[in-house]
Amino acid sequence: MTDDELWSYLRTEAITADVDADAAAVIQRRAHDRLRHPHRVLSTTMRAAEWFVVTSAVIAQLTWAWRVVLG
Amino acid sequence: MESRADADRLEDERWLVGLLHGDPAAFDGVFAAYRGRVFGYLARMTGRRDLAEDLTQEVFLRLAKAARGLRPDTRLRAWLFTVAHHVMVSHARAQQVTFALAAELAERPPAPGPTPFEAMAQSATQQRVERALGQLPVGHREVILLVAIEGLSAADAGAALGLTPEAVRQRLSRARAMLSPALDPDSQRSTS
Repeated sequence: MTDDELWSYLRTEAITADVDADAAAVIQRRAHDRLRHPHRVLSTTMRAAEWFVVTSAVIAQLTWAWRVVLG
Repeated sequence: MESRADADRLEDERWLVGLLHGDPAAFDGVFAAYRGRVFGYLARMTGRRDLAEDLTQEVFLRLAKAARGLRPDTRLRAWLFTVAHHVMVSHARAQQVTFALAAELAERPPAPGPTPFEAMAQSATQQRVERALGQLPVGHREVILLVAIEGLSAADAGAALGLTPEAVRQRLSRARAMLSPALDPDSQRSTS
C-alpha cells in the first residue's frame, strides 16, 4: 500500500465525529457576537482612558484654582 | 477539470473574503465545514469528548475574534489546525498536566483504555483504525491526523506543530511503520 492509498484508507474508515448540536449552536451564537463587536475590548479601554483624562483635568484645574485663591 | 482539493481551496478563499468583512454567513460556512474535523482532531489528541468540545469552541471563537485581521493569503484549514494545536498545548500547560505535553509531545505513550472513537465504531474495520490511531505516540498521531486525515501538507503541518517539514516526514514514516501491522486484520487475529 502506498502512502496515498493508506491515507485514503484512513480518511474513509476513520469515524466522522461532530460537536453536540446544542454546543455547536452556543459556539455559533458567541462567534456571531464577537464578529459583530470585534472592538468591544478596545472601546471599553478607550472609555476608561477617556474617564481618566477628564478626571485628571478636573483635578488639575481645581488644584490650580485652590493655589490661586490661597496664593 | 477542477479537483476536490481545488474546489475546497476556492471555497476557503470565498469564506476568507467574507471573514475579512465580518460576515456571519462566511463564519457559518467555515464552522459547518470544519467544526467536525477540528473536533475530531482534538478528541483523538486529548482522548476526551467534553474537553475536545471546549477546545473546539475556543478555536472558533478565536477565528471570530481574528476574522477582520486575517491576512488575505491565509489558508483557513492550516490556520484552524494551527490554532487547535496551540489551544490544546496551552490547555495542557495551564492544567499543569503531569506529562509535559508541550515539551515531550513525541515521546508520550498513548493513554491506556479505548479512545472515545473506538466506542462509536460500527464495524470491525472502524474499530481497528481508531484503535491503531489511539495507540500511536502523541507526536506521531498528530502528524497522521493532520497530514493523512486532514490533508495538510508537510510544510503546513510543520508550521502548525513547530517542526520542519523534514521532521514531519520522518514522523509520518515512523507512524506509518507502526500503523501498518495494527491495520492488518490477519496480524490482529494472530495476536489476539
